[in-house]
Amino acid sequence: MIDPEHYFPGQEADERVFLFIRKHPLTMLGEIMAGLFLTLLPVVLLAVISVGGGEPFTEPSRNFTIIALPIYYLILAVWLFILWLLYYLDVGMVTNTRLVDIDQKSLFKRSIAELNLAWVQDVDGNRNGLLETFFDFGDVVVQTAGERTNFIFHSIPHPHEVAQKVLDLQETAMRQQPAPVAKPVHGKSGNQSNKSAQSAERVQLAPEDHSMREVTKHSTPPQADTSGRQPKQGRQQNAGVPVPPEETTPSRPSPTQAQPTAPPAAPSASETPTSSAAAGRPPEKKSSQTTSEQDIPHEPERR
Amino acid sequence: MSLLLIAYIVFLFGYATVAASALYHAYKFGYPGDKTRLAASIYISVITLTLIGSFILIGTTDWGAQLP
Repeated sequence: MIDPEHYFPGQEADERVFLFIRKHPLTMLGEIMAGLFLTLLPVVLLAVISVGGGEPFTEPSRNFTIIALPIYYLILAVWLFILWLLYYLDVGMVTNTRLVDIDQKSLFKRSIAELNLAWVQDVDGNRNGLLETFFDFGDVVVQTAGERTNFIFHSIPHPHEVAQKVLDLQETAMRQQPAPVAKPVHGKSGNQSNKSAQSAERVQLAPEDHSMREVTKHSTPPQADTSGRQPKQGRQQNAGVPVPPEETTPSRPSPTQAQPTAPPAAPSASETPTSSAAAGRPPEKKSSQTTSEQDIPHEPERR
Repeated sequence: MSLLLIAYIVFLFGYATVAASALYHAYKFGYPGDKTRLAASIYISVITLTLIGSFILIGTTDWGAQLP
């Protein structure tokens, strides 16, 4: 039932919808052209048959024609209506706390994916192709923290403005977010205390954890995405929590360290990539990736 | 009654199910302030006119002549 207060299931009482995104109407161009063609097709066919000497509206063809024509147009009408529904109910929303992507894949297949703004790391707006450039629509790719799949809004109008708006909302949400996450981590040090801090954080965040999940209705199979409930480094980074160096250090040797044919300048198993970079050696590609990952926790502090 | 007419009646029952499902989705999952009601009204008008036209045409046909 259409509720003027709630745009999607699970919307909280104090949750405001800032962006309501729907695909650009030009993405329906193919369906519109097909609908027009199929609407005119019987008229053209009957005209051609009449001109060719046939008599579709006289006995005995008349009975078939007056049954086939309504069936054809009724099927066409419901097909067009369902196409419109799939277009119209396939929306994305950006609220003050999360991104919501509602996919209406078919009449009986509807899925809702959500992503907390705290998980957003970067947002890109892309326009590919002539139509998208002229009419200013394209994809918005929301890159997420951790190993989660990216969040993509397809073919939406003004992708760059939407991307900027999402980033602004993310920054606002990060500023306004209370810091229950920080308390357990700040008060302790060391690996063991970090583990207990993380578990404490997990317990505290459980009621408010809106990390990306797939809510499935009807016949959509649930995605195996619930393993990411455990807070990861990216979440702590975005939550503005300074991560101790022990957490950012990989627990297992990096691929560079594991190579038996590594040059003599390669770091030992106990040596972190940061230390190799500090020694002035040119970092290899993989170790530089690890270094850049370690640099990520400082980004929220700049903000 | 002609076989065509029986097939048409059976089709209408199936069609009513699909049409009701589509309208239910429009009503259930529509968004505030959107065009769901307008589109549903247009759709209902189109199928109503189509059905009325077909019933008028069917009513003017001598289906008894089709029986062997």
